[in-house]
Amino acid sequence: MSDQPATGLRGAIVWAITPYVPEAPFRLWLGDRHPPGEVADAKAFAQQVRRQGLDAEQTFLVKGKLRPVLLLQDRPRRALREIVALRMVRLETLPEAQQASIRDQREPSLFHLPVRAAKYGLSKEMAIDLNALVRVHASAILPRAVGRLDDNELRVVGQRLVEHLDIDLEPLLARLVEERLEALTGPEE
Amino acid sequence: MRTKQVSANETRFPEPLAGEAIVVSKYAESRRKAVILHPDDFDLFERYRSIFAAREPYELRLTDTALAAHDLGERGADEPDLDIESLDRALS
Repeated sequence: MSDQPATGLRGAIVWAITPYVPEAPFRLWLGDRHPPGEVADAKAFAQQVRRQGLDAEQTFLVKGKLRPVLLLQDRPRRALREIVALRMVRLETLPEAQQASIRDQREPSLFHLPVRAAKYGLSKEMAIDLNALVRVHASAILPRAVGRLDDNELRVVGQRLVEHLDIDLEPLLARLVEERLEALTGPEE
Repeated sequence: MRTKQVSANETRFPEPLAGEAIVVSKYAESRRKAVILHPDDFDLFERYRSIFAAREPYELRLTDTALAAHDLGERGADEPDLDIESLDRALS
């Protein structure tokens, strides 16, 4: 990503190394001379940190995968190197009825991407999973974007994402409406 | 509220008029089993609910398809092979 402009990332479909979310039991790397350790859950790990002097920072063994993601942010200043993205899912392993439901736009959580190589850069039918928000480091992204969502598609994804993340926009919207009303009804200068 | 679609061919029920609620009861009307509303009234109910009800987590609205697709992606099981064509495009 370092040889790419840091603008134009928003809406780009790129390949990136995407780690899976670590889940219990957690595997720890304990050095070359020892087999990986295993901790049953977060509480057991915290108890080892508190009572057995284990360092709170450990090398956790987590699987990752090179896969396409949709980038949601630009980084014009390059000040932040982590970029929020949405993971995509291939349709072919789902039952046919579920695939049809996604194609027919009946699944708000799954934004359908038909095979349109010129636009999306993918040769497999996929969907953007609104429940799969990830952060990827700029260095984990292949420099060349393979495709892109247009502004309307990004707007739809953004609106759905707000809902999926349980973000309450009502106070913000109310304030914007108030400001607009004041601008419309305020004294003329 | 999670809604479930049932084909009209697969079930029999009385058809309510707009503004009418049909209460399906059992045990001599002592217990309500279901209430059938006209679609317009259901839409109104949903609008009221969105305005006045407490915000509910979106997870309650996830469909079986959304959960199945997410689970496949979370495990990497959605990709039986690599999309080589697309990856080559990224590497070109």
